[in-house]
Amino acid sequence: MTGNRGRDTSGGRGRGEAERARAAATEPRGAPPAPLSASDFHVLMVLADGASYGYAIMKAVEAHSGGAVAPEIGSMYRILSRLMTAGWVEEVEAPDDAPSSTRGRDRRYYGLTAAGRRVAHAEARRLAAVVELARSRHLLAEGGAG
Amino acid sequence: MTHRPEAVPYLIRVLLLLLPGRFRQAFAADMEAAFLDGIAERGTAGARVAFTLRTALDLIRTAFRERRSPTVHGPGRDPAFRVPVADRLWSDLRLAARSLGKRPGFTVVAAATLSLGIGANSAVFSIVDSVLLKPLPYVDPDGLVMVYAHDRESPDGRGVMSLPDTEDAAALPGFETLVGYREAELTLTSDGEPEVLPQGRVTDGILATFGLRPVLGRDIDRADNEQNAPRVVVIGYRFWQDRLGGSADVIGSTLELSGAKHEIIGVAPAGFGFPGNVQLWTPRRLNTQDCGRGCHTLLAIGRLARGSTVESAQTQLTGLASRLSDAYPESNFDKRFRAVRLADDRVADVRSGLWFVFGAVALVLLIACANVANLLIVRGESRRGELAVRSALGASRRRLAAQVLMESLLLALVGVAGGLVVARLTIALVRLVPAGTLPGVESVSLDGRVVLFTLTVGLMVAVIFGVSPALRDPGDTRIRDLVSGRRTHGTRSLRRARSVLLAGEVALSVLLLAGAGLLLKSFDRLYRTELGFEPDNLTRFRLVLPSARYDTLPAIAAFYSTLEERLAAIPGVESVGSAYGPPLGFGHITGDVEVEGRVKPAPGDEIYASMHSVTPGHLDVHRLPLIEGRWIEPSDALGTTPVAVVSETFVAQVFPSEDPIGKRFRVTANFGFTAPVWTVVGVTGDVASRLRSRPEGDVYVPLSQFGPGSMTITLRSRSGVVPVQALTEVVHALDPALPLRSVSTVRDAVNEEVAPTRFYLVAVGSFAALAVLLACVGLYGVVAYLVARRTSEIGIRMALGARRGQVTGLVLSQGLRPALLGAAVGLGIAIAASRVAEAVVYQVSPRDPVVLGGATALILAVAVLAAVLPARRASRIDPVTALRTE
Repeated sequence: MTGNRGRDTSGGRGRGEAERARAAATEPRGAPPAPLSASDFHVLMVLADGASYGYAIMKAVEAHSGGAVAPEIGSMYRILSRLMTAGWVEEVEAPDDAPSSTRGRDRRYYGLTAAGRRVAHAEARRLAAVVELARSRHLLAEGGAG
Repeated sequence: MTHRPEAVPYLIRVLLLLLPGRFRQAFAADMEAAFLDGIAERGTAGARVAFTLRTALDLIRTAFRERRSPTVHGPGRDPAFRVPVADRLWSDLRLAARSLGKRPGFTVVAAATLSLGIGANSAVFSIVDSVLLKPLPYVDPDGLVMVYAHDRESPDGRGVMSLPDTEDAAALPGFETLVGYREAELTLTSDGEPEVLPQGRVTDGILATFGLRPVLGRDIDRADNEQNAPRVVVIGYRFWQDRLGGSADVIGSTLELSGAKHEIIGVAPAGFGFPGNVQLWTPRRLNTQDCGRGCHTLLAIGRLARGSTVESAQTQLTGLASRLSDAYPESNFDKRFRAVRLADDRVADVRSGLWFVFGAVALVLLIACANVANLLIVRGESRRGELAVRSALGASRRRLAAQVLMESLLLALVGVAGGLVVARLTIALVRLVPAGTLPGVESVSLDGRVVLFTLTVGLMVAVIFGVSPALRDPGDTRIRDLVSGRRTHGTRSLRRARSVLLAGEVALSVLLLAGAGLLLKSFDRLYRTELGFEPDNLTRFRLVLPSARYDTLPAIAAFYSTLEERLAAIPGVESVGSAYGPPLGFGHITGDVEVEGRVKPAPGDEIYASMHSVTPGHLDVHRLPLIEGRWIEPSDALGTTPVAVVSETFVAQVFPSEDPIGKRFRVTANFGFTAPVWTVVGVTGDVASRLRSRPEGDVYVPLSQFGPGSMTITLRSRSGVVPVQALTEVVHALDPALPLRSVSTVRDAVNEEVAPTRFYLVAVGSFAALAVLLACVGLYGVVAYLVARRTSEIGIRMALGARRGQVTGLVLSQGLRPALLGAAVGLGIAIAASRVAEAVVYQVSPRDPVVLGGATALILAVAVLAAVLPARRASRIDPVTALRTE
């Protein structure tokens, strides 16, 4: 396992850059082609707070969404993989204050790319507009978050 | 259920392998880390299991999704299989899951049945694997053999060897080495509290025999065994690391062991301990003047020479034995030697018992399979309509077969998952088995081999079930079935198949019940063995007086006399006595009896007896009956006439037609003091020295006249147990350097002796109970189904005038016929295969009529119970309602 890991990490990083370049070429502004799925958006929002690692992201997503979005490990990494392919998320250095791993396995940290931040921003604006619209149709109480 | 935090369960690792290669390479390691994070956060075993199962299901889903629409692109290996296949598999799987989910009752019963069957098998396999199958942790373990003396004194063929015999055997070409050893104890007094440690007293070349070299220094050799050689010790790697800090200059330094300085001459390699986990080896230092061919004190372990086999070594040993018998008839008449592989020797007592249990649990799985097969047949019939519709709508036969197969597979996988949980729980229970019941039981665990075994069993089960309905070719379901709807009765052949399955279940249950019954009776016999003394409320411990400080018999006798006085003063203590070789206790020394005035018996005709040095309190504390004459008294001291009290068996063997009182005899057993001629002054009852052995002639002699420094002190107290603290205080007030050894109750010793039988009893008993339950459920299911299917027919019969009793009888007879047949077959097999049970029974015939009859009667009673309920329901059918549904 450990032997593989070293290879994977560098390979993953290299591919991430290639994908990002490709994503940037096809979508220069990094704007989402369509509304993001709830889980993708939640992950982006969690990472907007700062880089984090797999299990912590899972927990944060569950907490942020009040339990509405609670991906298990397999699904979680599929989301991360998708977001990395899109060039919105990349693997980053572990922060200095990262909790040390007790089991001798280093956790990998994931952070937003600039494009990812723009996408999250755009999606948030889109959702805000939707909320505004709903409010104007009196579907939402004034000031209520829904 | 303890999860080691660093271990990712096999289930998860296997499922990670399902992920497409590129995705797996990119993320699998990190996913494992995330999984461990999740496990670490969950406090209870239940939460961890739930998390593991959730993750497992999610991984399966992820694997399918990722294969259908990969999120990772780019160069690298292609996905393992083509998407359309994966797609179809996934849809079959979903269909199967949905179909099983639609009938939760069937699914739960089938899955639970399989889980129990598979889990019990995995648990027993894990025991069989660690105890019997895994190789011993030594270099080339197949080359290691034990050599035993096999003579009249050790009819089980596991007698100890004498030093000259061992040396002669070692010189045979079949052996590369042969080492005599004896497990003993010594007291480490180098620093602080005295501590008792096990030690191996060995002749020479113990490490070489195991194919090892010392990491430092040298092995014990022949010169170290000379009488006046300096005292030396080889230490184990763990001892070296833990107590001496692993320093490189230990060679040449000294340890104080049992009051004498020993020079460290070598360090054994890591992981080595023999016998047991011994970490200290000292030379045996026997001298052949005092302890010759008749002095049996050594076990012998050797390594076969290259190209030699156990059989060829045995042939050479047999030749040697006959040469020695001719040359030294005094000591070697009729003494044979027996070579046995170490691996076999270690498990010789439990091998057949364990296979018996394994056989029992395999029967349980067969019953579980029969039950589920029965359910599947019933279900298959009721879905003929559904399959016919799907077939009519264009589903290919292969597709339908694949779906049925997938359902069985899914069912089996659920069974495997449940089985692993059952196995895990069972193994936790097995670990509670007292150490020593089964060698190596402490290392039983749910490891990869067990998981593999479980998966294999699960797949076999799935194939058995899956193939049989698939072979019936669901695509062949004709339109007739579509038209006739659900009211088909099932074909005659299927009905017969169900009856056969049922009869098989009942037969297997009879076998299991008979096995459990035999064990129960054995256990009862064993537990109620006439011990010859009252074992309750007895606490005991051992002391070994170092010969350096207690060098004369009067000093030893005085010490124990004072000790007993002080122990008797502990509140609650009723009586105290000491003995070398107490009942079911440590120490067993035998010798040949030579009666004064009789011709010395010819070789082969000697009578041997077991010697016990005792203090006067021994009789009272064990409440032994005094049958004739008097017991040993404090006035029997060194200098007065040497006296002995003998047991009834001794009298029967030595003085069958004479009054034993006043007779004089010698026993050749030797404690290092010259044995005097004893005068019989009394006769006591027989005592079981071991539960399973026959009583032997016992000779009790006063410690003050003859005995070793090592004694077991027994206390009878009102409360049952005397606190160790109180004992230690008394002993240490007399001699602070004396450690108390093996403090225990006599009841513990009794329980220890019955432990293996108890283990088999509990195992086979629970399997039998499970079998009866499963058979009961199966029978009930079949009869109930029968009634449900024939409601209208029964309605017609009743409308035509059949009475309730007749209807009940009809249904009962249909249900009970296969049960009766099964019981008869089971009984027949039980009688025919009775030899299998011989290994585990004790004083019970494997064909015990009460047990066999009881087992058959019980299963028939259960069968009647299971059939009566639906039969009564049938008799209550209202003909009008029944006919209206037609």
